[in-house]
Amino acid sequence: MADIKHIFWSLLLGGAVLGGLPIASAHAEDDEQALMARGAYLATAGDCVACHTRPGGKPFAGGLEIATPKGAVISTNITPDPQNGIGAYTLDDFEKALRRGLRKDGAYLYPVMPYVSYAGLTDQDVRALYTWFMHGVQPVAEKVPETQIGFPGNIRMSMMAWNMLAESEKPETGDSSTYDKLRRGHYLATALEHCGTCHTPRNFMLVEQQDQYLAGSQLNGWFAPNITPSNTGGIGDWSEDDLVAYLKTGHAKGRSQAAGPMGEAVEHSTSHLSDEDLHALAAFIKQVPAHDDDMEHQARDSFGTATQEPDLRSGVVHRVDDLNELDGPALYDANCAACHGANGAGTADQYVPSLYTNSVVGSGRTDNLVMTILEGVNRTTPSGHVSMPSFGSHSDVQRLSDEEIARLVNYLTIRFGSGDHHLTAEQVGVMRQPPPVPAVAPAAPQGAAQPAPPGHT
Amino acid sequence: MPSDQNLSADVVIVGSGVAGSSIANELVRAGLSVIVLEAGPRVDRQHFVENFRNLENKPSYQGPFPSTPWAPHPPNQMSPNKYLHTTGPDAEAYQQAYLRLMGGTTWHWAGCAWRYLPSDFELKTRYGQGRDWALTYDDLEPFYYQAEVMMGVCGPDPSVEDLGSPRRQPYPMEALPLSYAGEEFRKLITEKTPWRIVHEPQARNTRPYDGRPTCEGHNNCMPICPIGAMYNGSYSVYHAEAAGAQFIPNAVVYRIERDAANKKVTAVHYYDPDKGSHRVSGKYFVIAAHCIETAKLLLLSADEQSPDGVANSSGHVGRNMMDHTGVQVTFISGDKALWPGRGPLETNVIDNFRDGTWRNERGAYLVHMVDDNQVDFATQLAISKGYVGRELEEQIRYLASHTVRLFSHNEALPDPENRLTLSKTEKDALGIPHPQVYYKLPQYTVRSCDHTRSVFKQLIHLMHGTDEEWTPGYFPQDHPSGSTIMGVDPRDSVVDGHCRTHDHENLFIASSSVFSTVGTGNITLTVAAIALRVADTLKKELLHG
Repeated sequence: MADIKHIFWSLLLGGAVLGGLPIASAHAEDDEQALMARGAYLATAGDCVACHTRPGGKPFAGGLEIATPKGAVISTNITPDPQNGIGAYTLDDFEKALRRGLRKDGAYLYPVMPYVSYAGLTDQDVRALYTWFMHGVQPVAEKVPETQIGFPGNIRMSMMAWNMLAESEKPETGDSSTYDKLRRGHYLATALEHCGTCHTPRNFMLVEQQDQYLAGSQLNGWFAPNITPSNTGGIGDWSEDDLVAYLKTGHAKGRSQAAGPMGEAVEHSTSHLSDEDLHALAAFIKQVPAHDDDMEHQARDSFGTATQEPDLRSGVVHRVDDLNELDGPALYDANCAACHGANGAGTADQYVPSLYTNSVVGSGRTDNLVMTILEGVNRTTPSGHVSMPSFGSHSDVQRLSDEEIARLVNYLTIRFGSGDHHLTAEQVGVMRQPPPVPAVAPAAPQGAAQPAPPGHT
Repeated sequence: MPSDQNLSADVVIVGSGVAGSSIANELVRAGLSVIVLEAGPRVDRQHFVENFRNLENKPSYQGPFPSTPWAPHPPNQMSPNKYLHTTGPDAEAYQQAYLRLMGGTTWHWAGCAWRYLPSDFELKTRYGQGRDWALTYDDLEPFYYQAEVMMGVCGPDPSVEDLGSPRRQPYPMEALPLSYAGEEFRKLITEKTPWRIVHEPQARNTRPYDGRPTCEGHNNCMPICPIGAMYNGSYSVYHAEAAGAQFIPNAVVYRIERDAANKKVTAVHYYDPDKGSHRVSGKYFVIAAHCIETAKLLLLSADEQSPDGVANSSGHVGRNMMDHTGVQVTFISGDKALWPGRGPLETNVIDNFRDGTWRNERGAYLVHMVDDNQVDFATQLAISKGYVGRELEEQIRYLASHTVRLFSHNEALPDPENRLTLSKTEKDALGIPHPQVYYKLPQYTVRSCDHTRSVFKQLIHLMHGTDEEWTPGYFPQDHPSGSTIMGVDPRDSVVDGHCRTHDHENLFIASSSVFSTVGTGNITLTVAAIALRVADTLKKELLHG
């Protein structure tokens, strides 16, 4: 999947457009090309593609099922196809959907669409986005199924009430490319990257609790952690450069690395931002109000050191029909040590990260460690493809049982993290995703131009 | 363990290695029902990794896989073993190792994924030696590519390094980067010899592929890749299972049942570990149980209708046993340190001797520079030289970094006298006879090995080598083939060009046992390509009549 998206990015945007996006030329508002480039960049910063493209689907043609506590929402086709997409939208229609959550036919959008965030976009940037979506995106004549869920109340009309509860960003004004660093950072974090959509906890009505901005929230098995500057609960010990490295490559050495939904956000969005914007974003995040955390009492990346286990070698070889159950040290030795090292140090270049001084292992919540083991890491950015195999139900490398994962995670957090979290097999079972529908057979070789691995997920 | 006696499928496959599992995957995804019977148990990677790490004799690549009483396999490869009994003048040269496990012997292999040369299929026509296959390179080419995509094969750009097997598509992945030892050896061959060295095509990831990671060069591909960067048959088992194929482990097939006319196979019978017998019926049957076990099963199924064994009207079942029996030498380079053992085991090959007009009198071969860790060899050598204390440590360091190991794959010829039979004295726990093989190296191969020795001696001289250690006699390469040989004439062959047995219209064989000649490249990719071609034939017959 990542490969396909990588190809898509290079085709769609091209190194020239993104890599060398001249901010200055975006000033020339009457220049259609500049407006297009600006729109493309903004769409990347807004990470529209993440939700509006299904795995293996055409860019922006929708169809991705997004799990919410109320059921699955299916993302819409936002290509300029007039029947199935937004080709018939005027700038005014587009603006209403983007900033107010109103569809052209008057229906309310589900707030999975972060219009409360996009509400902060400037008029100029809305126009740039509109121009790019209308002229820079390939129309796709594919209809996606309607979402069938009962959101609070079961009709979209109840969204009117919800919208009154939810606090939207106030539209920014002027030319966003001329803002000073903190204002630009605020604009990027709120109106575009919509960090709060995942990292801010929501109340029972699923409204983001703004007094807990970026204080951490559950996300489909993963946990979007507290990224406020709290020294114990958040990332107060991260420098601006750490944050920039993380957002640019998905990895800040000795701190953390991105997988799951954040891996996708880095892959599709933040790794394509300019260094100047990344610094602005980082500077803004570093100065939001700090919030401590009920379950994190020491910086997540401050635990552990390289340790050697006493010799595990028994000299005993088990007959293949007489297998022993592996304990924590043996599970680590057989499944993790080959890459992460017997001492947990990872590789010298940290392509494989250390397991100590690692937020995912040090966290008081084991969610992201379990999810990483279940789903692996698969993140492609301009700085390369990072991959850790899955150890979940569809792995070809090794399928670990719930019991084995619980045993392994408890061992990891004792050895490299913040202690024994007494994770149980039942808890792992809940986090294990239901099996996907088997994929179709790989294409027959005759005439196949691009070899596709025989995918099965 | 399925308890019912009514197991049935469109296609019943015996053996879950690369051949059986990939056929199962293709057929089940085409909508056919498939049952695969595997004699050995199902084990996951982590247990093999732990067994390997606990193993004292690391070079023993059978070591981490101690077999079961009901599906024994050879316990090791380099000494007379208690399962595959060998006799004859070159008995030692045929001590093959293989695994009876879900996923098959590719649990341990070096991932070398060669296509055969077009000439390898026409040895008789071109050079007057051996036999021709009943298919051509062109027949197999699309399936070679399908197999390369399935396994994830990396290899050189054909426009830069042509390996002699014409390709319609590039390799699915870029070639492996060479280790320091590999680079240095490559330089030596290129600059100081008339020979050519090429990147070995490998079923090994040079980028994340198919949900599996990039090779990290752990250097223990044999006995077990610890991270799954190298292909093995268990992936095809998983893929086939995900699409609905049924795999039954610990199912030791012992009999192939036919109809009254002896034209069609009606069922196979298997023992579970307690010797409970089960019958599995089907429309088509594929025996994909490794060269040795496939011939063994056909012979074992002898009855009144077929007193010499199933599919054996020609009398050629079990005959024509071949391998890449070769030459091996280890020596200490007098030049600078190479530090072998920092990458995959086999990455560099001298390929000048894979084909030539001289093939009318001596066999072809290829030369591997083996890039394996040599601490074990160096330690034994240093101790044998009498070093102790600090000097011993220094010597181990010096010798391990200067050791060079070379071995060759030399082409055998199909000789009916080289024959697999059932042991009359040795039986396994289920009472099934062990296989035994009579082997006499063909003179064609002997001359090839003589030539190899002269090349190795030139290389040793060139590297100012000392402490030469030649493996006595000949070196078995675990590439057994020929036991159900392919041919157009039912009187002197067992299967036709589509791997269908001449005797039974719904019985196919997918194994190196069908090879008519053995060429020089490692056999697995050709086994996979032949298997995928069998799947293609079965799909056409079952789906389109």
